[in-house]
Amino acid sequence: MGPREFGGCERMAEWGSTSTSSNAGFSRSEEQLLLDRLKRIENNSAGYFAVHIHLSELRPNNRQPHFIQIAVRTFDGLLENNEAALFALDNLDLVLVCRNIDVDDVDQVVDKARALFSEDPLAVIDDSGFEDNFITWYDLSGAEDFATFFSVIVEQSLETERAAEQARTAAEKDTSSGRPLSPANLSALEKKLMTMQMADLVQYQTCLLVRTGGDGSVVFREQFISMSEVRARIAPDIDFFANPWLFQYLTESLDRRLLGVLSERIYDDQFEPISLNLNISTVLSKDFQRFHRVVSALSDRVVVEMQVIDVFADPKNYGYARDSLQERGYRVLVDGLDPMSLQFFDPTVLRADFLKINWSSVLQDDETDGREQEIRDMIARVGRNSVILARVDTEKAVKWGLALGVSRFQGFFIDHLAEVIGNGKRL
Amino acid sequence: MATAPDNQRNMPNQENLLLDYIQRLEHLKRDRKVLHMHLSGLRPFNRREQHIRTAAGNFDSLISELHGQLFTLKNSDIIFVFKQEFLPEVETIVQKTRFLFSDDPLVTEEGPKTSPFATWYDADRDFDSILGLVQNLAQAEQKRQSVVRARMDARAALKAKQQQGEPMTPDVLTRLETALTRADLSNLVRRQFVCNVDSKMIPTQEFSELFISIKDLRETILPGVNVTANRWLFQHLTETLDKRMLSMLTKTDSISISGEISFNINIATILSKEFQAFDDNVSASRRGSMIIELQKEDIFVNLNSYLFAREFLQDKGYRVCLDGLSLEAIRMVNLPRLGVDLCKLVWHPEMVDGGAAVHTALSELVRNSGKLMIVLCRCDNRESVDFGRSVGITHFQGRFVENLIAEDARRRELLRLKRRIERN
Repeated sequence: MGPREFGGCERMAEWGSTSTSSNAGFSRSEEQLLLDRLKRIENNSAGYFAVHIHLSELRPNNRQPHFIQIAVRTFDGLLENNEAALFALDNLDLVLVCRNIDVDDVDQVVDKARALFSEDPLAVIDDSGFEDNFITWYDLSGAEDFATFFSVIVEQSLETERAAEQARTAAEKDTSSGRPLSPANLSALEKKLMTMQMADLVQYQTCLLVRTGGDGSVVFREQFISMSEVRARIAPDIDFFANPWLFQYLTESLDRRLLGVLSERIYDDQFEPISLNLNISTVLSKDFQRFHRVVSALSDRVVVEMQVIDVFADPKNYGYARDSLQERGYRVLVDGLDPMSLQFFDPTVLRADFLKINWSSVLQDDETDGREQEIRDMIARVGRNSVILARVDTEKAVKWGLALGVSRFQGFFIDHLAEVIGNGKRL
Repeated sequence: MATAPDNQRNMPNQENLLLDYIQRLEHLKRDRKVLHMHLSGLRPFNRREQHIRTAAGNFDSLISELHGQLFTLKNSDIIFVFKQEFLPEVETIVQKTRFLFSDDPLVTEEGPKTSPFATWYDADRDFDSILGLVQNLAQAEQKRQSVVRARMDARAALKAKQQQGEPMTPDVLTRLETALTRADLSNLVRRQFVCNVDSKMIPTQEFSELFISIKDLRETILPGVNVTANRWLFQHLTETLDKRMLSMLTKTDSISISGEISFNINIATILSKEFQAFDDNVSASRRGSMIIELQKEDIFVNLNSYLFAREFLQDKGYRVCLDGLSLEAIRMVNLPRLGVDLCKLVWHPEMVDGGAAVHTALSELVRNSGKLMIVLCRCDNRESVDFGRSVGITHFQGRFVENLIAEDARRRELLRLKRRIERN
């Protein structure tokens, strides 16, 4: 992409180097370029104004680099035809510096960018019209605004340097990224998966029924293979999560291993209720038939979890899998839901025994009108005893859930709780 | 839950035991009564194992004193046969059970016009109706079991069919993707029209979908490999094909893209550089005549990405179509909320087999769809178009529609010839 020019006179921001802190040691950061620019207009700032677009405050899942790139492109038209420059800061914020442009024209473009994030609370304008957390305007011709804006950018520039420094040290130790999963490395990985020692990698997490009096009892313990352990053991240099489809493919192999390990552990009727996450294709496979022969009459102690991605990819086979599991006494759980996904379909049609909804801290401070009521209604429709709030990592989350009528929980915080109360004892 | 309490699992089914018991009761029917509690009418979340077990447990003392016999059926209904003298006790139990489900519409909305919570029979006087009821229940259970079996058999057969040919593996996918980078795919691009079909089966073309024929691809590049056998590997392959399609669309000399067109694309591809490059080459006016088709699989992988991509495309002026919805899927999703311009429902004969319930549900869905255009796709016979029109769908795609277009062209040609002859 070419440089964005200011009225065709001088080079301002080069896109090629935006947001790449790795370059910080060699070329000037966007923050520095912006500060240079501000210094130059300081003594002749008539007609200048700046718009600070706070994309860094979007929710994490909206803060993805390709989203930001596309948001940047919404400004193309404005930049081509006017005296304007856009700076993409390291923290993902955007700064638009303009000279003598109609505010309405800028509004129009900013609203396009805003529409891209319409599901994010940041983009919502308060009814009163006073609060707008998405953007801040600065009239640079005024000394006060100029000074405020200048100090905001200085602060951000320092922050960028700190972040770059941290990134450099982290990169030396970093093992979390790596080559993405590809068809070429998948097959070798699959072979390793099928032969590696697995039994010691099966971990569990407790799903707890919490009563308001402080009582708790175990609903089931979810058995799973720790992906990070598997990765550390067989492919520390490969990023498993870069490609969702190929990752799903790998989980099919993992399913078979998990069923094998669990078959050996279920040997008498003393075992506590468990759950396990499986692909729908696994539930319909011979491997599961074999597992069922071991479990047979104890199937009412096994909850089978299926992912919502899988359910939507093949609703018909989900229906078969669910019916055949329920007929044989298993309970069925749909995993991977979140409050947002529940707005896009009616979970009662899944006819599952349990729905697992992932908690996220945005839930508690989501003040979007009616959203909490929507969740409350949904819980009433599916039955509160069917809902499990998962990924619960704070007591706040439990309180939030209890207030909405949910009493089944799972997550790090619950693991601690389960340890404290043991099995079904009072807190 | 659809299952009965676990103490009955792995035993001869209760329906058959009940039938046997009632047949033997014929000689002892004096002074006996039969209670039928219709717990199958409870809402699913009230019909779980523990609820039914609690309801059945209320009869324990009467059973242990041998005053009656209890049957819990697969559909959760409870049948209790007891000695007349214990009627007051049994009435108390029914009342107790009613309280247990006091929040359920079966109880709250009980009235002369709705189905009752419980039905009482006198064994002597009503013996024939009891026997009829019990025979029906046993038959229904038998039928249900055979349906389950048939479903599994069909699956096994399908599986076997799919296994003919080399299964798709990561290695095969690697070979295929390598081959794809070199192959000229322009001769594998197919075009199929979406048409408005009127009551006289005359098609009017709305737009055409461009796609790379997977069948032809398989035959040209990797004969004998079933590329669709593994869903996840196939999804990955489609991302590669997307990018090839985009580059062909950018170089308009390789394929013709006249008229209104649609093509399929992964959300990941929309957010990639390849799509940005494509978009840069499309004039603003042309975008309005392009429809981007998204797969339903993609939406719930990352809803944020879906919403972002949809907003981006629509803002640019493209129209967005949700492709590949099965009957189950279209009834699951909240279409208005997904905010697409069009969606494609995949024709399947079971839509007709589903009877009035499916018909009503689909008609309602079409009626409430507002500006959203619903296309019935993969129509390969007249039945599909007839069915679609009967639920209010006006747009169709598929082999049958292609035949209609060809037929229509022939008819027009004949008309033209006829006119020319008349003029001469």
